[in-house]
Amino acid sequence: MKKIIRILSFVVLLSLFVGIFVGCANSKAKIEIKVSGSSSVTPLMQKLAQEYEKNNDVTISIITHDSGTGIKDTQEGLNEIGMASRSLKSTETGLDSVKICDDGIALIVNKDLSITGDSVSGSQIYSLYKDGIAIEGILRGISREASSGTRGAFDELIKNTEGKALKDITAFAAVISEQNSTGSVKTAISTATDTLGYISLGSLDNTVKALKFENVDATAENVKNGSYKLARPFILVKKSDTELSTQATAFINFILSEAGQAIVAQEGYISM
Amino acid sequence: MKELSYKIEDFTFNETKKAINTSKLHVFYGELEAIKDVSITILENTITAFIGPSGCGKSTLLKTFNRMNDLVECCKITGVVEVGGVNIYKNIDVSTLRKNVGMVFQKPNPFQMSIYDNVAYGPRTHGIKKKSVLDSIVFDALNRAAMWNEVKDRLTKSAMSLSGGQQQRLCIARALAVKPKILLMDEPTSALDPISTGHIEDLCKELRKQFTIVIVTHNMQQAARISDKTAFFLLGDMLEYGNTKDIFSSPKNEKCERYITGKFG
Amino acid sequence: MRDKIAKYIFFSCAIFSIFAIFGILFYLCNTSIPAFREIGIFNLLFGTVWAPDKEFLAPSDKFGLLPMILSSLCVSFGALLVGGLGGVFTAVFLVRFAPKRIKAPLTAAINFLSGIPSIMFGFFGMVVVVKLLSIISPSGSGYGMLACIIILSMMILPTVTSISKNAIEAVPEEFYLGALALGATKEQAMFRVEIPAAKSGITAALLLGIGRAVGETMAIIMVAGNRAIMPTGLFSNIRTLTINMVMEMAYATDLHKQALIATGVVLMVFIILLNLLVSFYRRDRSHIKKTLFKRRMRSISFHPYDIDIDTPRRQGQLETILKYLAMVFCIMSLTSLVIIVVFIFIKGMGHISLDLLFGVSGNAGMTLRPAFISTIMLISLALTLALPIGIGAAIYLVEYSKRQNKIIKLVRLATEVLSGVPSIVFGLFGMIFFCEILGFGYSLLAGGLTLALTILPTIIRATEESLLAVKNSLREGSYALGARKAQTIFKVIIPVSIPGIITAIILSIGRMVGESAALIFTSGAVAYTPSFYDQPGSSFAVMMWMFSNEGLYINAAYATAAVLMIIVIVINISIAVLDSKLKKRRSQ
Repeated sequence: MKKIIRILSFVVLLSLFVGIFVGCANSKAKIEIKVSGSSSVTPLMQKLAQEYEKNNDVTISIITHDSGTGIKDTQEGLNEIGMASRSLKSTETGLDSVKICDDGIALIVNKDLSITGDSVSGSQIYSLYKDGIAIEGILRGISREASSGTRGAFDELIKNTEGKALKDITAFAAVISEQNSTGSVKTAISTATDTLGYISLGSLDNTVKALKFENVDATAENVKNGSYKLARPFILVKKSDTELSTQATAFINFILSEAGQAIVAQEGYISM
Repeated sequence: MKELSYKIEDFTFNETKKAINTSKLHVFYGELEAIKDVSITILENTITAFIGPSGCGKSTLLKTFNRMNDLVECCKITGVVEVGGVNIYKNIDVSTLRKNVGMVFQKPNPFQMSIYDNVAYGPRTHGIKKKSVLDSIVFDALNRAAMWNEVKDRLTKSAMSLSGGQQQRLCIARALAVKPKILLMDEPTSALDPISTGHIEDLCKELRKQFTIVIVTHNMQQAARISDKTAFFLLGDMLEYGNTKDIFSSPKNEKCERYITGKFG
Repeated sequence: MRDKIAKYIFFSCAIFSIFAIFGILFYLCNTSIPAFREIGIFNLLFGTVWAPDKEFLAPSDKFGLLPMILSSLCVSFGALLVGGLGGVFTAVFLVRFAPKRIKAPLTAAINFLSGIPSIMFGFFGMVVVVKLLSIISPSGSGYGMLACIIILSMMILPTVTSISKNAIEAVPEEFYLGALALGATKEQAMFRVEIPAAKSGITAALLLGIGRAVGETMAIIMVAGNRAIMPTGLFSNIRTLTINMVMEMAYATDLHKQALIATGVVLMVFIILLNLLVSFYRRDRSHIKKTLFKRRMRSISFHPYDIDIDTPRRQGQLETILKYLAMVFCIMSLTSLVIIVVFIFIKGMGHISLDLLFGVSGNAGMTLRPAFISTIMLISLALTLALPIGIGAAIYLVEYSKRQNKIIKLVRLATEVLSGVPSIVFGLFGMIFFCEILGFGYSLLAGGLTLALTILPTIIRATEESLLAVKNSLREGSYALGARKAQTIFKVIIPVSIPGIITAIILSIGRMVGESAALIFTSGAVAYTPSFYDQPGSSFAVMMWMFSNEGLYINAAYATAAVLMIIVIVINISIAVLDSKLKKRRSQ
């Protein structure tokens, strides 16, 4: 029995030791920039960080949540830079923001679903989300969780013929469900042939099909020339009353530089 | 035999010849009065048997002698209990008391360790660390318990692998290993077969030379066979106490007589 | 002297645990008070609209928890009906009717099912269950209540099975033989004699099952549809209390945050009620007679004297039907196990590569290396803290405190409640207390501390139980030799209760390996390998969540699931080996 106790405490100590040792061996005492927020911005941010890390001795840890969380984290000092996939709301104060690019919102359906012209209009989507009125074969829709930047932009941009936006209605129709990540939306769409969803244009791939909005294709050029209306900015935020570290400032400058914006364009987002 | 290297606190036994002495002892379990005004004197180097029907308080009385009743939360005691002339319910180190007053229980309760460790547990507890000293204590205790030859080749085996009778003798050896002056036995043979019982009875007679033994038993023949003195209890009262021979041949108390002859109980 | 030191150490462990346990309960209740006050208890509990982002609504109109409360109740009840009863029947089949040869592997397989992390059930539900359900759904969508019930049933079935099985096996063999001797059939003996005798154990198993169903988060969030609307049918979108918390707690502020904490408090009240029900049930056995199950058992006529030699099977037809039902349930649970395991291995095995396992992880590409390291770091921190404190506290509660003491009873109830509280509530507490108030930020430290709190009640309870199971005669034996309390505890009592404590440790490790909800909000979700406890790090389950999050690395997510599954298998096998080794040692 004593043996077992000894073995047990040994295992605990060993694992603690291994934990610390492996961790330490892995670190090269690099400077770390903590970034957190929108899951829509995360893939782009990872590419930018990857490029930046090649030439600079920093580690950029990107914590994935959503826009609301990124902004709140910045306000509470849990990160250095917050990421959001929408503009700041009037209630979100004490922050400085910088826009790094624009991103379209792609309306997606299952690859096996076709409707007339493969195009939908704002008022059609409005009626679907508000009253559950079907758009041909599209019987239901998917929304994101309330703190999603993509949802915030979507609810603001989708308007009916009288100009009332989705964000001003009290509740969606019963045919609308909620998913809390881009991945879940895509998986849901790829398994259901009667559902409409929306994701970041940069996250679009061949597992789903993008519809036209008001007869305009969802492409980066159309967002850039303003003909595709479903677009929102990606922004980075920092606390107004604290200075960014030199490394963080340099990183933001890199994103805004030509080299950074080239990556933005290459990843399917709309450079400035 | 080697001298034990730990110091036994001096309970004085020689002068009075009284090993245990109680006066006006009452024991309560909450509301229930389990022992009613018992005054008894137990002499040294005798075997005293406590008999009586279940629930008469004999085990309770036994447990007051080494303060095992302390473990029962709602237990309250009034009166005096003296062991070796010392009042054991007044400012005394319970651990030292129990070292001097050993106990063997109804069901064998060996610890989950080897036979050797079981016997060495007590001495180790009291601070003996030297292997050679422990070895001799273990040998001596197992020898006295008449089981050295049975187990000498398997001392490192788990005590749980022994038979019931062997386990009980191991428990006796374990109690002897701390060199008590008094040995309390609470129905030590009730869970055993006749042969094991015989072994233990022989052991008791042998041990009487050095120890004072108090034994609780339900077995009249056993009490008659091995004890020098017998006390009969009923519902917390001690109704009769005297030489075993006298009690079994001519009991004074009528209830005691009926119990002994098997007419009630 | 030594004795006193030991006592004070145990006492301080107990005080610390009590402080932590009541601290959490008090803190959560206290922080939710403003929500109850500003929104109004009635509006909060019975309001039907939950729309925190609608700024044009008054607070009293937009924080209604009724949809979530009803959803939680409905899915838990449904899961109890399917998974709970299924579990009991499976246990019945395993104990008496399964052929001896397949009994052991079946039991092992079902235990294994309980070790699968919840996020895996979520994937399975989304890709398989929802798709199948959409075929029969009148609206064409498989999301919603029924999908949740199916997934939850699969999740609670193994728990209910293994505990009921223990309860039925604990019924003395004489009962069964006695019934057979009266001329009852095997089935009658089982359903008329053994089950009623094992009733309190089975009830405890069912209640534990409900507790798990009420607390489940990450699995059902993928299949529930998640709209905060009143549930209307089996295919209606639902959002449970736990989903409500996990969807919004990361970004909520002020009143919204307090309302979410209030959600946690409501959840806790659920668990408290369940616990009270259990203790009530244990105390008042006459209450048992009123249950439906018992009444049905009663109504079966059983006349031993009427059994005719020529038609011995006429009696007990119902029991025979029940037996086949048990068989069906057992086969169903086994099938579900096979399906989910095959599903994960098919989807994941092909994508496991050395690079995915041990490659450098960073913004350039995520691998499982940080998951290995973070998981080990998190578990070791949590265990180094919770294990000694939990065991010390349990020793104090069992060996030193008076058992009838009112405060101790309260502590015991609080521990029991907390061990049933879903980890998401701990996550919420950890996020607010460690990350924000103490300023640890997203870090392994905050995550490890949160995990330590999560497993502390479990460790205390399991240790307590194994200490209580140590026979008093051993304590007496040791004291009678003049041993002191500390010596008795360390040398006699703890060695005997070690197997129970080890089981508790392994269960806690399993729970931590599978934990995702609480960690996402405390230790963060990052691609980088942590170098120390002040940095964020993702454990396995969190890594899986990250892989699936943007929908870009789904294959890697399945591969992670497969790796995780292999780890679970290894843990399960080591439990079995350890168990049999210990048993052998004891009988030697």
